[in-house]
Amino acid sequence: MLFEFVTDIQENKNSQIYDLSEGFTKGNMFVNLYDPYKNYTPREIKPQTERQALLDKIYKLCFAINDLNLYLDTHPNDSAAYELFKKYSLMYDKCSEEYESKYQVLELTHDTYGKYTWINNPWPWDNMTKEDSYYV
Amino acid sequence: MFKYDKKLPYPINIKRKNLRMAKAILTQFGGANSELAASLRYFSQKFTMPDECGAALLNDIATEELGHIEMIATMVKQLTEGATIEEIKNAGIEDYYSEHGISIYPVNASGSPFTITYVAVTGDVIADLSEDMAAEQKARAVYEHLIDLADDEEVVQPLLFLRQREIVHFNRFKELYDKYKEMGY
Repeated sequence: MLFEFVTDIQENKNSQIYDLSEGFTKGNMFVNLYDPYKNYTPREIKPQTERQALLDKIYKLCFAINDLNLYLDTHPNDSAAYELFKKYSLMYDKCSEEYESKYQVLELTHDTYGKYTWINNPWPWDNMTKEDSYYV
Repeated sequence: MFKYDKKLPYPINIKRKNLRMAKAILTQFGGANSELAASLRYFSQKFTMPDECGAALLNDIATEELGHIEMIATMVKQLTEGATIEEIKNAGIEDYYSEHGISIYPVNASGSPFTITYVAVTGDVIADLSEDMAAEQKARAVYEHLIDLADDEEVVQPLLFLRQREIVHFNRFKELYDKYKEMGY
């Protein structure tokens, strides 16, 4: 890893925003908007390979960035949210770069590692797990 | 323009075939409250939002919904992968199979094809945002029905994720609605 991946950003201290793992699992970064359905519990994903573990971080960062993006659209002057958005965006770039150099490009213009691999499987709709117990 | 990211917003890895569930879930691809309808609704409305907050929010939610369309299509694909004729008959989906085989075609759970008349675009920001808020609530209700029908954790979890996104979107649209009301629209 290019940096230590800490899901619980302590310096953030913002109790209104979930950490990366909890936010992604619940489908929502903002504590006040979470609304569970009946007695269903969102379950954390359990990566089965190193590749999946890295992809899992990318999912989480991508999700947090997207949810902060929507929040910032209606609260553009919230500087704490913007700082978090910025931090996650930089982390996302680093994680993506590592994943793309090791496994597979995620964006067409990043396909610059020596030969054209954009067409390579898996595509996002392919099942990437074989074993059961995909969830923690 | 759009840039494709070669990943889903939330991973789908369904290993148990279930054709009946696939037929039910397909409604979120081609039904009235589907992700496809949502995306086209916000994409069309964004051009007449009165300020940059509205332009950004409608644009960004429309974009997120495109990713959700791909999630739904992926669920249907994995739930039907390798289905035999016997399984198709047993699940009672011969009608769909006749026209479409085991492909992903935008219809609702009763087989009606997608129509853009599901979407309203009035050019009136209050009417449009009211429609958007209602659309998110209706989509939430559909997801709850689908979760009720599901019995596989690998199906339930992505549906819970998508349901919660509807709640977040509803709240963001409401913030925008309240802001425009205050501004006198």
